Amino acid sequence: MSSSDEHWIRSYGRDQFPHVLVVLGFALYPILLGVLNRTPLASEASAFLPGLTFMIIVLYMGLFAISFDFISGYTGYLSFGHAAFYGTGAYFVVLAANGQVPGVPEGTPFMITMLLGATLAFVVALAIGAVSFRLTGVYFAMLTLGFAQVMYEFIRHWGYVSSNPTEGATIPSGADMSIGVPFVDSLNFAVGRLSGDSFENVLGVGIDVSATMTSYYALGIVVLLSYFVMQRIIHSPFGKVMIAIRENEERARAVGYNVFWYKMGAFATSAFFAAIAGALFAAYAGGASPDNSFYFLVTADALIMAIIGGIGTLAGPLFGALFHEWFEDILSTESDGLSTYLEQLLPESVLTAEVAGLTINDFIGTFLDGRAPLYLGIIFVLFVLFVPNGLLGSIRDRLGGTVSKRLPATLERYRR
Amino acid sequence: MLLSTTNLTKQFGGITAVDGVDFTLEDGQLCSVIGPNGAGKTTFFNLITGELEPTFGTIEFDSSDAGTVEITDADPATTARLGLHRSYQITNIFPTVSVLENVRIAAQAHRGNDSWRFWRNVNSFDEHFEEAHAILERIGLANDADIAAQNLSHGEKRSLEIGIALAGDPDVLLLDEPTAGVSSEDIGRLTDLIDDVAADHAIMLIEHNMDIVMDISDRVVVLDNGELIADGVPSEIRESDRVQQAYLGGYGQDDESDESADDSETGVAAG
Repeated sequence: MSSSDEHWIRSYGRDQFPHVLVVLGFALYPILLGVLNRTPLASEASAFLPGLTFMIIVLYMGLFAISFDFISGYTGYLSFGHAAFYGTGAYFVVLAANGQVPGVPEGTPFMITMLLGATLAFVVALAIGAVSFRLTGVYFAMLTLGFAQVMYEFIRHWGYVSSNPTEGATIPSGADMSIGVPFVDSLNFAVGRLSGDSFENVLGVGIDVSATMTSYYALGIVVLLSYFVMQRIIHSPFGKVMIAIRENEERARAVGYNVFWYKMGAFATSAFFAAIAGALFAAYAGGASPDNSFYFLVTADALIMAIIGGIGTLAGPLFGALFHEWFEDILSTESDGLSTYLEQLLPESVLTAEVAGLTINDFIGTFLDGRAPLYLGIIFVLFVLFVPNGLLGSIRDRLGGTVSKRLPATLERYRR
Repeated sequence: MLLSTTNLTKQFGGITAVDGVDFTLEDGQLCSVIGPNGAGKTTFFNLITGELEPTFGTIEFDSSDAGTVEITDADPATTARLGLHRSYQITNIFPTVSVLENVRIAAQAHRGNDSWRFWRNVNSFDEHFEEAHAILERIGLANDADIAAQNLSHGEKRSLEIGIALAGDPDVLLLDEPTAGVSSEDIGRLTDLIDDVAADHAIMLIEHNMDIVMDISDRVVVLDNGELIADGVPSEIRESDRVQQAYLGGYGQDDESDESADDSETGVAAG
């Protein structure tokens, strides 16, 4: 007993090894990008690796997809209206920053408004769930979708939000959207595409931290904490009941579970974290509009990420989000995509050479430039057909257990 | 009195599936419920556990935890927590989780508010695991604890079906055709298990295999067209003309009989 007690830190570290690897990977990635940018490989790096702005999308969309998976992958109830909660979180912090939420004074720290927004989403989910959980399967999915569409239409025409509600609302330029410990200035970091904190010459070692990088790390910490809370719930007795409901709801009821309240609890919890993701998005983007928060295609993105990453694995959707955004970046129309890279790399004569009446230039423009949704659709179909367990789910099947349990043993085998 | 029904009736539209059944189960009894397909046996079980609501009549249950309660309108989760557990005619388990987890999750349901302790790791509840391991030992699946339930053989799944019902130490077990579709060599094992469980639980058993029914029952009731037409010890039932006519088809009178055990293959029997 005593010998195992001595090494509990080591054994804990070994259990958490894959988590540590992933967190380190995300933490070191901006530094890797920064180093690569100073080497001759700079243009390759920007063409083939996701840029930091895309990595930020990975974080908040990843969290949203994880929260979607929390209810859909673990209880088996597809929440097709999940965007409603994402939108609730986003709009709440935007309206709070404008001082438009009754009872929440202007200047309330973002961390607090974020949690309030998430709590509101929790309550909204209880209301939606009370009606929707009367049905199962596709009918449940359609009901939640219906509720989300009603909220979408409502928010599009609600004049209170802004003078032009179809375009959404913005966070005023002076508002302080900081992630950290509320009321402790030195432990707060402002996030935002344009208005985030930046630091020069950090610790005197000549490293500059841009506003984007600050946002990336600050959002990353919130996403990591949220992930660990959800993971804790999944591994608790409550989480086991969620899985029992997914496996066989009739039997779960017959062994003594009042499944309705467990489903409500799971649904509201997932809504809570969806709203956190929405709040992070709004703080970073400096506002929210109906079409990038409450719209049903936002849920569809989460669904794609969850399927690609592995539905029913909590971390999977994050990797699905990474895959999704990486693809978007490579095939983007912006300056750091594959098409720009090819146009610069290939000589003019090759670009204008005609093959069957089509120049290479036309080919790039037609098949690569901003065509990510097309290929993502194809990849989605291929995943559903051939990799139904997704990236992480398939790795688990290969290892014969969860990655954190099996990876150390597997690595040990290769080391010998 | 452990469980009793008074004038229990269930009508589906114009069809009366269970018709005015007055029935009382005593402590420690193993009572078999027999009858032809469509006689209302499974519907009778569904009424008791709360999966269906009776059209008329009442059900009372003497729970070891809560005393005598009326459970006429109680839902399945409530009757289960009071101590009425059931197994199903068609295997009804948690397929992709481990055999151990199948039983553990059922044990957890009877541990008060443990299931709502979302901040604690499930591995810190040693008692849940101890109970589950003890049950697996009893049903003979201790060596299969870690494999996914869907990978068990059919006979083993039928044992697990009973194991899930055993978790939480019920007062009454309602076993709905535990031997349905089980090969002849596995039937002996299942019968021994039921016999063993009957030592410390009251059991109601729906069964088509007359050898099993006559062998292990303390008492047999016969349903026909939803009505309770006979109630007595196995030997009385075997001799009853009315039962012979309705169901047994010569069982016990003629050794060459075509045993109605074949009916167990046909699936849905009632409702």
